[in-house]
Amino acid sequence: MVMIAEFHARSAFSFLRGASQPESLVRRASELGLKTIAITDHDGFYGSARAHHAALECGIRAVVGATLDIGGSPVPILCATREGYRTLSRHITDRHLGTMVGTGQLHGGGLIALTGDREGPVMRHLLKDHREAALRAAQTLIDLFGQGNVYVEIMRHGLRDDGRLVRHLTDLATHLKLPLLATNSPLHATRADRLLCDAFTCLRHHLPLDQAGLLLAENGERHLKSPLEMERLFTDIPEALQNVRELDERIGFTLENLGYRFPDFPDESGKPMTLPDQTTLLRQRSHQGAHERYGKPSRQIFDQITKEIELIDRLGFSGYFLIVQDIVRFARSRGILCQGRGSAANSVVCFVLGITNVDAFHQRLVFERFLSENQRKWPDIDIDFPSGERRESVIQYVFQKYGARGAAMTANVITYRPRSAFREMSKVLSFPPTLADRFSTLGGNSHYQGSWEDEDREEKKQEFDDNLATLIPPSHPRAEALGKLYHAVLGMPRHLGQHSGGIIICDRGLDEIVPIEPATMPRRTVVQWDKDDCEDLGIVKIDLLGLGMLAAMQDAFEICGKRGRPIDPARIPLDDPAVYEMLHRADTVGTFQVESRAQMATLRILRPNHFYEVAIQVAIVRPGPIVGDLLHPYLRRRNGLEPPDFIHPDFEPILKRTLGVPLFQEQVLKMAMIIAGFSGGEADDLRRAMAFNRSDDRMRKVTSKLLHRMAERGVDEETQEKVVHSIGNFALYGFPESHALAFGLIAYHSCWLKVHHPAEFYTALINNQPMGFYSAHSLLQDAKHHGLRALPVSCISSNLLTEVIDSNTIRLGLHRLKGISQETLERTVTERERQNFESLDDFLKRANPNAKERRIFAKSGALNDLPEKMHRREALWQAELPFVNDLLPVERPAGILPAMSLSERLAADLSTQGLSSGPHPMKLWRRQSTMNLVDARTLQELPHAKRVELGGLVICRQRPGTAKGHCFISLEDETGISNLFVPKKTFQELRLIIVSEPYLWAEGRVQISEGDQRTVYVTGLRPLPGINPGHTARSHDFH
Amino acid sequence: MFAALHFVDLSVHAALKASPTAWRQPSAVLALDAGAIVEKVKLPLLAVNDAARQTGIDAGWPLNRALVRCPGLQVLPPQPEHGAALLVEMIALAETLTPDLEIATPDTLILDLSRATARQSGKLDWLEMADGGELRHVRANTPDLACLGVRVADRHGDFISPQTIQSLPLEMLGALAGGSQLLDLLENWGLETLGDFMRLPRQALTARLGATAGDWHDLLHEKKPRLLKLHRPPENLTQTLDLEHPAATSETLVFAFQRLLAPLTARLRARHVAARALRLGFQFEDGAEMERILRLPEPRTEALLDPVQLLLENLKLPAAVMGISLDVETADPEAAQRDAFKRELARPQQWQETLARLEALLGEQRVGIPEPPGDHRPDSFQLRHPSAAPAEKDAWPTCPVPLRRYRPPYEIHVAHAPGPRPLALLSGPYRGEILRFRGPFRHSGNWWDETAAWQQMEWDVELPTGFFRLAYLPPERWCLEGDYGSSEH
Repeated sequence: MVMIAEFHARSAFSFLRGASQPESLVRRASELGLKTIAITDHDGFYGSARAHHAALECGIRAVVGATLDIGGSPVPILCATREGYRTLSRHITDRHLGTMVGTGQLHGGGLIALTGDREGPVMRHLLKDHREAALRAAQTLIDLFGQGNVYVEIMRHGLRDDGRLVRHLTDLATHLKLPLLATNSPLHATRADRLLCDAFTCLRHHLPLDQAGLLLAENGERHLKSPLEMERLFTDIPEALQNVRELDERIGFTLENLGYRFPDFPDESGKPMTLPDQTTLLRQRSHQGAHERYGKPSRQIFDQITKEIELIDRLGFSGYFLIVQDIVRFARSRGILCQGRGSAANSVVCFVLGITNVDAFHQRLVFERFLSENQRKWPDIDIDFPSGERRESVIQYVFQKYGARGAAMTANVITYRPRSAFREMSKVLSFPPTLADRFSTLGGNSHYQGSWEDEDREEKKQEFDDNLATLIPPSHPRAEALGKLYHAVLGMPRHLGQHSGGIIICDRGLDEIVPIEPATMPRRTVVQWDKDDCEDLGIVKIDLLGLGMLAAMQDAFEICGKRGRPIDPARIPLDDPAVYEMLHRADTVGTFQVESRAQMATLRILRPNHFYEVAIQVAIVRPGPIVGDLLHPYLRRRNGLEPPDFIHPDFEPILKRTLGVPLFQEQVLKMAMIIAGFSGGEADDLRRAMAFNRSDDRMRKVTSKLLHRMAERGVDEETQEKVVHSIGNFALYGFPESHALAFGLIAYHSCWLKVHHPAEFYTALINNQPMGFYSAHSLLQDAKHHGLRALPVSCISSNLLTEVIDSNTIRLGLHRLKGISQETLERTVTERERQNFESLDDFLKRANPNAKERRIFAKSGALNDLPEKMHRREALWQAELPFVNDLLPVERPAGILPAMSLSERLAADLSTQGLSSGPHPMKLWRRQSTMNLVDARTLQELPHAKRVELGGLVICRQRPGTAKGHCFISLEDETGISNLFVPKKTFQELRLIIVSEPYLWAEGRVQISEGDQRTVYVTGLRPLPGINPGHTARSHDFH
Repeated sequence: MFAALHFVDLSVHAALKASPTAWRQPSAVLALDAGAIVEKVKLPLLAVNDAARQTGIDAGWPLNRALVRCPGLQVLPPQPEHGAALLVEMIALAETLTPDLEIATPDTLILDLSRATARQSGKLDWLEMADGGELRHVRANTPDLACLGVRVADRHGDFISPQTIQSLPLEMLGALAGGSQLLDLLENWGLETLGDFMRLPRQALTARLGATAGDWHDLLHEKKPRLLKLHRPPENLTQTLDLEHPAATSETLVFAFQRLLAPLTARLRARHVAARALRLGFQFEDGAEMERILRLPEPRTEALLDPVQLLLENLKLPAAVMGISLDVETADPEAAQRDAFKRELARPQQWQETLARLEALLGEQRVGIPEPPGDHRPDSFQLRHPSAAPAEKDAWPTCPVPLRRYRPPYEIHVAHAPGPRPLALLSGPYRGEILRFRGPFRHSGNWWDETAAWQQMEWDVELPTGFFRLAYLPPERWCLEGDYGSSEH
């Protein structure tokens, strides 16, 4: 009797129990000749979706199950029917959400319980020879799941007491009339994986391997075994094998029949509408939106809308568009700025429904790249909202609308990365923690993105071995084990997190489709599958993402509105010359996407003149195009220095807009369709394989398919190489064109605000810190360069947030005071609005700050405007006197402390607020220093190769992976920002000074590069002498 | 009149005693974990030497920042033993001036000179440490003022008064209890020197910062006299005895130790303490030394000779003994009421003596209660110290049939089929064809350590002569591990 199934396997998603990925288990089962495998992970279906996907590929069946703690012992439960699956999913959700858990619901019949392994309820008693207790435990299982739904699991792991246990279990099964079931209860796919399994056991028990003792496996037999091997093991108990076959026939459910349905859009009475009704409503709303967007839309626009809606209707997606629009409408009704990104921006319907802000019609975007006739997957619409409370309110709206169990966030699987892998594995091997610290400083295979290509794997393994050899001698008796464990654990799931914005909804209880758990954030729940698992199973995800700049822009628009200059973002002209002039100057500090040093450098060369070029600017300065060497060809072609190369003549129509450089994902997909004859579905596979952070397995498969097809079609090798190269680059941070346009629009709007409403723009940025590339201090410096005046924080005049006083003046808000609780700040404003503070005592009485907060108020100068008109020191002296809430006023003789100097006030500002309305520290330094250092403005006038010495506050240190070890530093002074280039060798020599000194004095020579940009090639660096150590501000380092 | 005596950079000197070659290099003292990446350590330096100070760094600097200024900085681990020795030397020097002294900090002494003659006080200027190092001293009317003033480098030999400390930096307050917590605020007030602080009205200061600030104010204004916490060296119970003739027999040594034990017992009684352990030292003819520690089951003052005699009788001496020493670890005498609670051991002393006798025969750490091991390795055991509590046993034995183990197991030759599957035992005390077998039972462990990794396959086999346990240890060893009762037994 050949056994054909393994019904009690656990994967690494049992977290620190199983030691193999679900996919590995399924593939191994298939290799061994098993027809069915059940993954029964602890407390959930975490690995089931992946197992299902792998099983489909291997042509075997993945049965869904889970191991639940019942009466203190783990019990494997299998889902035999869809009803059983629903019951178990709901039951697991109940357990996780802490609602009343009744085991009565498990009796429904669709669930099958096994008696488990040595930790299980039955065998753990038999191990102690407590046969009566074992009998009672088995009876409990029968009571819970029903007589026909409990199997007595027997296993033989080559242990001395196997025989006794099997004998007892057989007796028990006979006594209770239960069927026996042969399993091997595998915790890993192969015998070799036992090492990681032992290491996980140690992590679970917080012990090193040396102390784990009896907790470790006695041997390596807990792996998947072939049918023949199992038959040999159980040849004396054929019914146990026969029952495996019968159970396999009995279980009819896999995730193929999940039964998920995206909700239909409800009518006004709340009743779900039919598809034709939904399409009619969609058409009606689209036409209405077209009039709002275009005023008098042309016939072509209506034709496009009609064409899109017909396709949407044929694909059955009308309800989806209406639901997404409903979310957007809710946001707009609350005045929350939002806009769709991603490929949805290719759709005119999305534009007229208000989901996206990119005019797909006028930007000539191709709808088919969003939805196509042969599309079977649901469209992907991502919407950006202002980060923070406003986005949270939209998420809570969805939760409220679909119920706590009708919607949930998707999970994010956190995996072992090189540093965590090394740290944990060296810990279990009893290496000192300093070894892991040293590994981290060596870089720790830092470019690991979840998995490596085969060729990379060998290279990275060699790199790891080299690194390890510098840490411990290769002859160390544990060196080999460390290497094995490190490589084994890389990419294994560590725990579940929450996806940044992916939310899924269901037409009825989502908890019957996938178990739901509470998220770490209050009032949020998360499902047990990540976004790819959900997508694989046809569960529709809507991304509600948070964008700091959108929050800042919304604030800026609101401030403009309050000041009587309302702005409709939709009506901001995209051809404003002032904006393009600013972009040409690279005066983009604080703007969206185009503010980094690399972006600024490219802006001066690219010099965008229309909106599409802004989108290209956003897309091109990214690791993908830079590594792929796409940046320079584009810039050269754009400036007429070389002719466009379209790789292949057939690509000309696709690559014309980007001068032959494949910058956008759509272009790459189209290239694959043309040159390799990829179908829409295959192109979609390619798109998914290219998605960031996705398994390299898919990428490898699709690349080899691409090469094969191109070879078949006689494409020459050079072209093949270029095409594959382009695709490889997109595996790293590739942008769809529509996404670039959507981001480009936000970038353009932020630039427009900076040009035309600088006071509102900087105010909004300061109110939304931390965000972006620059600190609040640098933003304020930039504001001053643009003629803005900042008034200091005052308990008499400041509101909670920074606000605009007039077009040239802003007043810093109380929120800038670090170390004062939100309650105290709010009380200060509320009490002042009720009645102005009449004295320091009045302030202390009503705002009621604690001792530490009083000092901060006084030190920051926020008390200077009180009627006593105290300077900061006087305020510090007076505020220190304990306040007694008495009828008689406190006697406050005049203080005897001297007023703070300008330098002291600056240091006090920076320490209490992180910025100062006063002068730049470098200005003060220059006043008292005899050194003659060049400032940022003068630097811009110096000739090439001139030797120069300059100094300033370090606002940015960068050493991107694409820079081959060189380092870029930005120094800020009172006139602007100077850029330094530190070659690798100099960086290594002066690393400690670079990373730890807040002010630098640099020596070097001026280099003028393309776009007339000046950079200092650094030959020497020292700490800037004589700088006040209190004059430091936050810098943006190595991000 | 009080004087403060301060050993400048004592902890650096103590650390450098262990690394004498590093005297001239910039050095700092800091305890680092083994293998720590010094460039990442942000712990403040405990002390630095002059060479390091000249590079601009000082004690209190985070190590990573200090390395920026002084890349060649040598980080030395603290050497508390050497530090204690230097302090002892310093105390001995100070005691030549006056017996009334207080150890203010591990590197500073306060001396009460009120009873010292002018000549004795004058000796202060001539005190020198044997191995060098700067001894700094100041005088003052109050002990705390002296203690504060002695920390300033250029005040050596000065008389410290409220007038002379005015120009000292405010950070000096950090040396006072609670001072470091208020330094930030005082700096925010713009105070830079102790004089700035002293000029603040005491009442206003106390109203704001509490009584502690008022105490500092008094201290600096010389208005806070106090008595010294006098240093008294601990009593030593160590006794030594040089033997007139080299002793080679235990009887002689017993007699010698008996001479030391009698006064020891009397001293212990006089101090109301008991002996918890005895430390016996031996100096041999050839110059070698040996020490044995005798732990007593219960602290006691009587019958100390018995365990000593037992130890000496079982001790193998490498040479004749020229001298002996006896020291004692003391504890409070046993306060238990002997009849109130039933003891686990009726006569713990006798039990201890038996164990000591065994340990003397077998060696240290080789006496205990054998227990099943903490891992899966067959026939391994661990020794539990008799005083340790037994581990809780919960599991049913994996093999309920008793096995008589052969120690060591017989290494044998076995005819076997691939797998391996044993067929017959070809050598060893029990030979013959295997009639039946159970197994294999697989065990393996310690795979993470190349030097300790093991694996084993076991079979229970039936031979014509009985039932045995057979083991295969890859790659080619076969062992007969024991029997379940062979017909020959």
